[in-house]
Amino acid sequence: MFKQVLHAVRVLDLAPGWSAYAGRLLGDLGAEVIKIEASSGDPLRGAPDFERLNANKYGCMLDVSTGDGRDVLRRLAATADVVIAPPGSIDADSLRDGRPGLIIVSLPGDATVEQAISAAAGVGVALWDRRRTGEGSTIEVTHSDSKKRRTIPAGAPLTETVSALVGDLQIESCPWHLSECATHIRLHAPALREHNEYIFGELLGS
Amino acid sequence: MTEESTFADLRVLDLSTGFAGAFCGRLFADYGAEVVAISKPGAKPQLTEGKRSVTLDITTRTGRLLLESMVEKANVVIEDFADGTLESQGIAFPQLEAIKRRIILVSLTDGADEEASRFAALNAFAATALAAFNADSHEIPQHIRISPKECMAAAGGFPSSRVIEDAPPFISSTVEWARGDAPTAGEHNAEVFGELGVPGDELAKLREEGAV
Repeated sequence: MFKQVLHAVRVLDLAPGWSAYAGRLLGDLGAEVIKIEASSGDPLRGAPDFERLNANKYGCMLDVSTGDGRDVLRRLAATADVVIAPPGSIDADSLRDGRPGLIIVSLPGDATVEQAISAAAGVGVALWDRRRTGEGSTIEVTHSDSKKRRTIPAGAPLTETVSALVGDLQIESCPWHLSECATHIRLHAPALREHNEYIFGELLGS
Repeated sequence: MTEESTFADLRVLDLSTGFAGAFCGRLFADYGAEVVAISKPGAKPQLTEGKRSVTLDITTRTGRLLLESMVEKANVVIEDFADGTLESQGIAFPQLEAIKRRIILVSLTDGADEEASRFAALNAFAATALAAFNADSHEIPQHIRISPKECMAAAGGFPSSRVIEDAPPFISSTVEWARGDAPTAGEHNAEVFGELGVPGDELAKLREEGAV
């Protein structure tokens, strides 16, 4: 029987900008990833990299800074396995109250690629852990040493170093090859609120 | 590692000879997995902190049989041999899967420099950690192949320099992280092979033959 690695794993992805890559990797492996944005939208919307950071996700608009938004998020979290969000942007305790197995990943919005991959790794470790304990972990992706970090502005083209090493290779799909698992693009990056009805309709029973 | 470590019940066989595979194996050890590093007798394994170290020549008949026994108990096998090596040894993915239905085989190669190898190792660790859960619960075995070039291409344009620290990639109040000591090569031969039922006198004989 053909099953994807993360089938039946639901992820609420509140990670903006480059940190959205973590959710993309989970979506590539078959998780149902719901990208949640406020009405202002992801800051990288319209940038050339938005598609590859947000393919294989559903898209919902929800302002979690409002009381109503927080209430809907809590109800959505009660159906989810993983929440990825910037530090301090959500009330982790209240989300986990209704869902003890919820895995919460705290990932800075300006995450580096290695931090986004670390977040995905943390989800894997926490899923394994949850099987044993029944409880969801809170994963904090640590900051790498900023002195060593050469910052490239968002949306910048491939640096010369990276292009030299990588050559013409362009990756649109998951960089990991897994057998018995499709890692191709099932969904394009969603438009803002594209799946509001699909996701919230089911949730709110309308 | 304590019984309560996060990956305490995850067993990893680390066959790697290069940096990337060894680094990936050490990440598993850091999070509490039982990692057995297998090196050729006389070779000097690297990045073995927190792993158990055994020497074994898997090209010998005995070596091959002991490897099979270890695969039976493993969740994950990490290898970085040149293309075709696993096939020529008869331990390619289909053979491993026949030995252990729930196995994950991770194949990765070293990158152009150490930084690229570390980055490939982090990718391999993430992919494997995510696959481990369902490989075991739902018997979805996996052959995961990681190429440093493709990982870097996927990361192209990121505000990052791919600096992978030695520190834990992530922390948690519930997920433990600790770096163990590096064993000497073959330090755990008696312990690991003893668990497989190899008595001490036979082990001495195997040592004389150069199999371990």
